[in-house]
Amino acid sequence: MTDAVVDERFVTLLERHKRILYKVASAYCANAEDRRDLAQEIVVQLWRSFPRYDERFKFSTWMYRIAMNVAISSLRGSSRGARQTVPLDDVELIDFAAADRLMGEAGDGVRVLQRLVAKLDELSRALLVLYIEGYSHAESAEILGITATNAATRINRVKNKLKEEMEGDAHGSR
Amino acid sequence: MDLDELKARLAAHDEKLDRLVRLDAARVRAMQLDKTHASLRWLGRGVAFELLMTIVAVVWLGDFVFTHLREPRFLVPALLVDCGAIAYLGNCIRQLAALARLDYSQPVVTVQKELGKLRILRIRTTRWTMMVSLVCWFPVLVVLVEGFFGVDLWRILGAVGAQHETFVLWLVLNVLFGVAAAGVLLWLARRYEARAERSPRLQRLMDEFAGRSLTNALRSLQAVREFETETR
Repeated sequence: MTDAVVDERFVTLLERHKRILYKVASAYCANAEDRRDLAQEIVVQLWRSFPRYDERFKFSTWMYRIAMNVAISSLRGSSRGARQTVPLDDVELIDFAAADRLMGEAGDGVRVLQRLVAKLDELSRALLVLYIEGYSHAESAEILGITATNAATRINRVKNKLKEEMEGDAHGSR
Repeated sequence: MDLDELKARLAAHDEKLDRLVRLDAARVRAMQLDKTHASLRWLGRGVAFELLMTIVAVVWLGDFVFTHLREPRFLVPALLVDCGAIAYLGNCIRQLAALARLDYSQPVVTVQKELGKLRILRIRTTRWTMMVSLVCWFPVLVVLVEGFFGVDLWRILGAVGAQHETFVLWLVLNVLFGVAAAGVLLWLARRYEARAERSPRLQRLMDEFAGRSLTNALRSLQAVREFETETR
């Protein structure tokens, strides 16, 4: 395959799965500037890894792995220094504002969910994003590199925490 | 409302999200030409530069050792510094190998463990370099001054001849001063933690002196390991 064909294939696949960029960036960054930078870092890493992508596997699964690895590394400071010395462009890769408006329409539950996500550790956040996206425990476990039992246990814990948050929210609004 | 109800509600929004959210494909294509700002690539470049500089130092020191084989007052400090440089070289190679092995499409826990180990290695290297530099700056100075300017620092400072004992005392005091300076820096790192936050580089230096970077990195690595194993 020529470079141009590979490039076009990559852009097409990214276009088809662009919501992963939005979901991961939003789960790991609260402010707009950080989200934009993270989305760019994820795309750069995806592009660098694309030559090794095995088409027998789902692109979305591969993309989630890379996106989450970049997001967690970024949050833990592995790439913090470089982000401070190399300013990224102001251009938005995806229209975060439109996506935010749309998610806002999903109701109060989403707000509580976002609050819960912010309280979770980086790996539990990844697990929650995958669960909401419809991945089974076995699939999530494979993406994260843990056992399915572990994934199931942690999701149950997250469910309980969400329940507590919802109850807290209900008491607060009374 | 529970998580599964929320999941169903959000799934209904996914189609809209795909339809409404615009991806700037032209920007993505342009980024392909400008991949250089990938963070880890910069980290790799930094380590590669350190490696190159260390190789130059090791070669230069090798030449210095060879030309001063019969002068123990230069040979011993040069060998000492050379050993440090070789150890640093090995460390750079280890870091580059770890970076080259990193594959972001591997499971998240695997990649995060590798990154955690790399981060710990880098922090430990910086700390050791800073500490050793504070205590062992004198042999480095002796070698540099002789190598670049042909000036015998031992003779100037009275290490040879009648003032030998005074010099030994001076040398011991210097080592003690180095240890004290490390202590003062450690105190400053803790005392002025808040002010250093305005400068990310200073903050990192302070963190590394105070041992906070290492504590955080170890804690992160431990969290990844616990996440991997916990099932109850």
